[in-house]
Amino acid sequence: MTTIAMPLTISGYADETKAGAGFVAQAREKIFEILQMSNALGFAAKGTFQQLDETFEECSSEGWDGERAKPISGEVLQCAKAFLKSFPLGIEAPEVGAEPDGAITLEWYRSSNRVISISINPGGWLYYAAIIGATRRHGMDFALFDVSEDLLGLISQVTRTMK
Amino acid sequence: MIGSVAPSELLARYITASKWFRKQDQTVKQDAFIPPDEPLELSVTRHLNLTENDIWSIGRGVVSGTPRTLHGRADVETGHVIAQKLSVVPQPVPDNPNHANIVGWSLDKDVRKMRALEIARAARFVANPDAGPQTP
Repeated sequence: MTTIAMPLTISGYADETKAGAGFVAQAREKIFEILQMSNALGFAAKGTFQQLDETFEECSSEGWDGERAKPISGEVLQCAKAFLKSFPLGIEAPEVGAEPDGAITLEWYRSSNRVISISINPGGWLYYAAIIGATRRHGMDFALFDVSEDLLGLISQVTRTMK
Repeated sequence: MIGSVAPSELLARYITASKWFRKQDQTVKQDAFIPPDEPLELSVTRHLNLTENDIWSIGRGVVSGTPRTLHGRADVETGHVIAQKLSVVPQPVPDNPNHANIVGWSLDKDVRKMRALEIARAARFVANPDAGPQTP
């Protein structure tokens, strides 16, 4: 799998070059948007952001599961989008879902023995659990930070083609 | 016996969201087994002494009066729930004397997700025969 890393923040510029840095940041954002629309590279073209909007629409009312489910908030939707935008291009698109505690889920799945689920919760907290063969991993992170190398590694272990 | 739940008893979790199961291989996602907050209890229905018709009838009751669709149910043996250090407590309600709650969830969401992932892995999706084709 080929991935392209494009950091979301540009730092290290001196004051006098702020205008230049702004131009570079704008240009970088524009290029990122164009690459996002590439079927091979971006979540946007793969329909992930549309799935997020649909999930939000479906699950934004109290008791959306017919029972006690909490609504998914606009804040959680925005956190999920920000989190996905921090991914390097070229990552397989996740399947989007929702949990009764008001979280949006992103799942990469091959089989019941190779699966990772990430929840984006109110407050911007991110929780994950993974089964990869005999390995079990779970933990937490902050969704407004760029995706960690650790999480990318787990996703890669789930999605890579077995030889 | 209605007072305690045997490890061999089957439990049904009604699938009321299209994103709670994977259409491509008809398996259940962990999303269906995450409990709502306050309290951390997950509603299930014991199969005990119920016919298939009874089980579906209770499920239809869950979504009646809401815009939700009953896509199916996830059947799982109580033993798989107990193996995740959780308990099944009978909690009969007027419309469903077989109602029970899965309780004992960790306060840590990532631990709850791990438990839900393991339970979902052991569960079997049964499509609602009245819901139409559940294909990708």
